[in-house]
Amino acid sequence: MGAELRASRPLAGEAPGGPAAPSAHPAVELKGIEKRFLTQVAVHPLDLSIAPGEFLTLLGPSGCGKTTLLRMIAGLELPSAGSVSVFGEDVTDRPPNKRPLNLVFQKATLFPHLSVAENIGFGPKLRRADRREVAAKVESLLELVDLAGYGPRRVNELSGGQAQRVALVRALANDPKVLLLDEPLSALDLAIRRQLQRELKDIHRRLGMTFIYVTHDQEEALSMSDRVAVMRDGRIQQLGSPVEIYRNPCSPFVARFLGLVNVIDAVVKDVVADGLVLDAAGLTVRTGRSADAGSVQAGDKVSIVVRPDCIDLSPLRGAGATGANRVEGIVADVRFAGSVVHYGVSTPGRDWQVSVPANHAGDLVAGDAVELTFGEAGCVVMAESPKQPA
Amino acid sequence: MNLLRATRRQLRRRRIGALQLYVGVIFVILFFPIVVLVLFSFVRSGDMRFPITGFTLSWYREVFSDSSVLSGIVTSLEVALFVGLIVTVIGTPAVMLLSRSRFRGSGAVTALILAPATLPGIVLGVSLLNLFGDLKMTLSLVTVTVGQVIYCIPFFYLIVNARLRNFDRQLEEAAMDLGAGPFQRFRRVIAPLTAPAILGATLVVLALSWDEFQITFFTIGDQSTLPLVIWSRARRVIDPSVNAIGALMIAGSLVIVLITRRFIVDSYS
Repeated sequence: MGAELRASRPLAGEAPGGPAAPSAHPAVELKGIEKRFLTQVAVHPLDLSIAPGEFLTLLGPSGCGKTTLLRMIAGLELPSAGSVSVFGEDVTDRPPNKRPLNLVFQKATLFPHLSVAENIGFGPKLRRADRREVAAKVESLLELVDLAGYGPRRVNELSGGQAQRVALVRALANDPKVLLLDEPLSALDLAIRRQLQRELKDIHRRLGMTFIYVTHDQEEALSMSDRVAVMRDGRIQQLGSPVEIYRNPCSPFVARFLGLVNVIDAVVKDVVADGLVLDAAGLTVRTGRSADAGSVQAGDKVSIVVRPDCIDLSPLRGAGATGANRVEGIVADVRFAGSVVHYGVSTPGRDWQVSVPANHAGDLVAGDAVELTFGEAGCVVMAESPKQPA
Repeated sequence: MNLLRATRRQLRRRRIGALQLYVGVIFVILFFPIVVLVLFSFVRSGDMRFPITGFTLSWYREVFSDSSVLSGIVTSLEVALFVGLIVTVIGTPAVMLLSRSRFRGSGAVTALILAPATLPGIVLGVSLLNLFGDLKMTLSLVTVTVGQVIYCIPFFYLIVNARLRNFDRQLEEAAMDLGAGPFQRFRRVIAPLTAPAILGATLVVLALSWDEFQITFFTIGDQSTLPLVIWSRARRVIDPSVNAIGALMIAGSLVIVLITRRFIVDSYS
């Protein structure tokens, strides 16, 4: 029973994936899960399997169905069809209070009439756990988030970051098998958000617990997750490790959402042995063969993404030679962002975004004539209508 | 320039002055009769005219030696306690239901609950008198209590509803997520967070019942509540002892209002 209190359980020093049941079952398995509201489909039928100890992020713009999907896992929303299993146990028909999962809400939602310690002990106390065990557990959880000694405080004395930390350990106090997090950091200042991202990642590593995280912040998703599911209009558009989806976005939407802004429409001119030759409104582009573009034929319309960090930017010296993967333009704007410098470059009919490490950046200013060159590896080809993952 | 600025400053100052004057006049109009009443309850001469010749407590002595006044106080307290209890017991589940869910006809139900507050008290009183007659019920404190409950429920509803509408439903979701079933959610989250508002509303009902006259007048049997004692006394003689009873009633209401303020206002901070 997930309802039992395991107070003696060590909180630190566990290997990832360690404490979870050594079962062959996935931590969470969704089969054909679907949510329809009166006239709208919030989540189209989808399957998703999350491994024990994994940190999976549902990433997407607001209204893409990511929160609805999370709430269906928590039991706060009933699916219109499909099933939810946790470690092989079907929990579809169980109310939230009978599921071995806990949710951290976007707002801290601490109980205002209870102290910090009483908030954290809320779950264990409901299960009639021994009072001294609860107290010890609350204290160790407060230490986990650097709030030792805050137990007797009133919750309205806490700052936003502290309140969200308390909400996090209140959810952990129930020893959930899976922790669900619904944009828990989105209401916080940037600095506190960055710090809590690190703390969360650290806690995930130490507890080895399965985390399912919802966010609309692509940087947060890429930096924290083992796997990211990019969602749009109630469907998962792409599922993969942060490196995979960043290197190989499957659709222009995913590319743009990840901040890869150089998305170009092109027509396939030729399929050669090791790649494609494309025509993008006069610009010839040679690319390597990406897995997704395997079935592309000459004459097909495709989109290509050129990653901003894979473009070389150099001052234009005289009339350069024309060739593939090379274009001339004018620097439109320069934005210094600490470790990198972002350039906006205008070329005939198109705007480019180029990111250069700050120590490699020259002294280009707006108005300078430049040439852009990029290697085959920096381009990703996407078929015009992206395939829907099953 | 300087002149302009000075004028404007003066204007601004005068405008604040005007507002203060306005509020002052309102307060005088509101409270002058009450002040006069309380003042004359301590004045020796019986004709209630200025100038005041001397002060005395004899009117209070007279009131407290009058058994009808004392039994009126006891009766009023008795009725108020029952009304407060019944309204709270009936009203709380009704507000919980109506403020937290919408169902077919919930708007109509709300309108019906609020209707007694909009009816003239005298109409309510007369119609209750007819009803009790048709039902062959003997007029007594029971019929008074029934009438006052009907009259007080809308006020109870309005006060508690204001609080419950602002209740953060996500707190319930959080409690549910942490393992609380329906009963535990009510006991550990909803009840402690709404109790101050409910208690405050109960006290307001006590105050309403304490000085209710119109409905009581039509539905009472052979006993009298304090307002009815005053009324019958004032019909016979106007003397400062009526003022003394009035002052006592005001004191009673004031105590309840001050306690209520503590519950309702403080629970919102």
